[in-house]
Amino acid sequence: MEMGQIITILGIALSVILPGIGSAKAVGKAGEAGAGIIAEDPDKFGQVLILQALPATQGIYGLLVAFIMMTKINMLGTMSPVDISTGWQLFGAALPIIVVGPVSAVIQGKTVLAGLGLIAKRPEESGKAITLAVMVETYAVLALLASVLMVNGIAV
Amino acid sequence: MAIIDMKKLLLIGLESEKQSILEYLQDRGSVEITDMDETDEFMDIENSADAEHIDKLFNQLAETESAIETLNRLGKIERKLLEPPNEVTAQDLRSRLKNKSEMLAIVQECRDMDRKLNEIDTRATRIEDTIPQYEAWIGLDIPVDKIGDTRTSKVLVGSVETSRGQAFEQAVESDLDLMYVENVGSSRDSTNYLVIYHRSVQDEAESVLREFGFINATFSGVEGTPKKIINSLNAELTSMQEERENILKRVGELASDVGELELFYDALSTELDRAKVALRLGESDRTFFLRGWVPSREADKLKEGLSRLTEYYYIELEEPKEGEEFPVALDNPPIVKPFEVITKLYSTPSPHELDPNIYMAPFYFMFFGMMVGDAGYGIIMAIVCAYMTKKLKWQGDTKKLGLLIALGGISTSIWGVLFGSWFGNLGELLGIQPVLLSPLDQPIEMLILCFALGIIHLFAGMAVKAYMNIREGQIWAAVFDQGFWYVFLIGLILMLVGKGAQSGQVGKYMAIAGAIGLILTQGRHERNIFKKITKGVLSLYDVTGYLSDVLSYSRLFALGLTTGIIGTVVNEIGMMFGTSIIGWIFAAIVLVIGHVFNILINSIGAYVHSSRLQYIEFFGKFFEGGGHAFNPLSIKTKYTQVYDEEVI
Repeated sequence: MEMGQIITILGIALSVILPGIGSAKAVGKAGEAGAGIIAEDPDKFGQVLILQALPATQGIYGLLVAFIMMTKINMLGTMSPVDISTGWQLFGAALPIIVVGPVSAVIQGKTVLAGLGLIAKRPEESGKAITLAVMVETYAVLALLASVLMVNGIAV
Repeated sequence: MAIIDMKKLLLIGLESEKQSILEYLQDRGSVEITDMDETDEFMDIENSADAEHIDKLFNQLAETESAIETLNRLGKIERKLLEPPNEVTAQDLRSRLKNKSEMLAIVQECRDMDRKLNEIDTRATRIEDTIPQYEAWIGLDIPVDKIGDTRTSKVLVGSVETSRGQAFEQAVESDLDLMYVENVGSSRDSTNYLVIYHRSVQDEAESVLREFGFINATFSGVEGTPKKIINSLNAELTSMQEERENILKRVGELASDVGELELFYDALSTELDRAKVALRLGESDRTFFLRGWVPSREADKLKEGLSRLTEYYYIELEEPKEGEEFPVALDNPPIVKPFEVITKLYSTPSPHELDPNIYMAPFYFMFFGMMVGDAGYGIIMAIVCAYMTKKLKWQGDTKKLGLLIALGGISTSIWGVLFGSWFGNLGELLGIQPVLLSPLDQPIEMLILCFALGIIHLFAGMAVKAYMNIREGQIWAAVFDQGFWYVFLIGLILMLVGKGAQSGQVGKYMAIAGAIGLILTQGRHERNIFKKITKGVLSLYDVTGYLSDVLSYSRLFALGLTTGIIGTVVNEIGMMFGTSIIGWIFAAIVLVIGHVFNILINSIGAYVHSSRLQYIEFFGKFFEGGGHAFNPLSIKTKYTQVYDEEVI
């Protein structure tokens, strides 16, 4: 296997691994807090679920970048040859989601926890709790977009 | 006008007719009853409405709810999937209160039965635990309460470790003629014996017992031989089982009428609502005073209805004073109504501003569809949500949300057709071409489209603000705060787009003109000339805000991508299985679960992100909110649905 392919695969693997870990951590924490709220009032399940799902997206964004990279080098069929320079280019293109994904997931998780506290006390304000958490997500979306556009622009 | 005009209501009626008037108001559902004003001339009039009565109703309601829960849990009620709720008329619902004592008796019975079942279960477990203890003594044919020394001999029962049992028996048999031991049973690791010996050999007998570690056993509180005890315990178990079955049978009978109990619950909760409202009324010996709000267009019907009910009433309606807050009810065309839930989650509009829903709705519709952007998914979402809303007869906010997603589904399929996306890449595989563009192949065009829609959205928000300014007579504010920004921003856009061309030149002059206008006017509220200028110059810095607002619309592209790519991944994984018949079955499972997951996760994403684009980017331009939503005394039900019949 060529070095370029190895570097690319590392990029693919990391963009699934790190955002995945970040999302799992945040969603897990949110779930723990959410269970406490549902124990008090099972009717809040819907609101809790939406909040809990918010930091789950970073993991999905990571998978998305990974998948675009896989199609780029045709990994699901016969892998295209990738030279070292192109390998590093693809790796670099994946960096935004590799770095911003997990960090924003964990931070968004904290906002979600605070939001859960908010809906425990004032369920009618769930829209605001969601909006606060979505503000964090913006940066994951931007990182995703940058990664996708870069990967798309690299010629293999 | 989308915010409904309200009139302030003062209603005075006879105390004796209070209940029937409150019932009438509740049926109409068009009057919000407020507390008596502190400065009110009727304020010093004592209100005798009974707080104890409310407590009692509250308890009855809680007990009814737990009775319904008991019947549902134990009664094995078969509920059809997607079963719509019962429908009743308001009249019918209220008539359920007539046989209140009967219904409360049933509630009481349910509670007793539930408690009885719990007792039976606890007792049965304890008996089942006890029986093995007596089985260990099954061979003992002396009633346990009769075990005791006689004149000449000692009688005792006890146990020896099973491993030493045989040695114990032999030792007694060979060494002591006047001692008798009988093996009467055994438990896990010890063997139980009946021991009888003559008093003359007491010392020898005791030393043998000591040697083999004999432990004395005592029975207290029971009579008869162990066999008899076990038999009676078993009999008790059987009779409890019978009793349990009888109770469950009765529960089953009651459970088939659980609908009645649900109706009763809803009737009771409407009574509680009326009782709570009664606390807000003022009272004299013979009359009551009610203050509240009623929509202006309902006022005449209200008067007409009241005069049909009684001739002894006095009603006074006045316009709210200038600047007075009144409860906000919205009136929008049916197609816009579903979008009200989105605004409500942010804030209810204040009574003195515009209802933003009608301006927000087309953008929400468009953005939601773009963020999911798959024709196949859109059709599924539209059909499923429209069907559920209709079939389950959803009301209020649930209905609005259902219809919102259904509308979103329509928008989703439109964008799906434009982008050529059908269930991920399935359309592409079948050769369906995008009508507009393929986002992944033309990312720059797609981004430009997103930003262009974003700019339209932002400009629309500014236009609403300008309209609000003009409506309030502040025409100059509209020119300075929105007009100059329009000139400035459009100029900048032209400069960017038409580089070198003539439109670029026009843009340059527009931007300069706009900037000068802003510098000159944005500091107009300052007194000091230097502050006027600095504030004007600094206002240009807000352009970064507009820039980040526009960039925020790139999420339209990113979220649309997510749907398409996850759909494609699902398809490819499915195809990998599709090599044999079993493989195809697997493939079908993967495809169904994968696509359902994709629809769910992305419609949640589209829901929250298109809401955010409204809240931050759009509402930020003009909407303040902070109103209090109109909350009339009305029939609010949990289990059943009240017909929308015309109440006069």
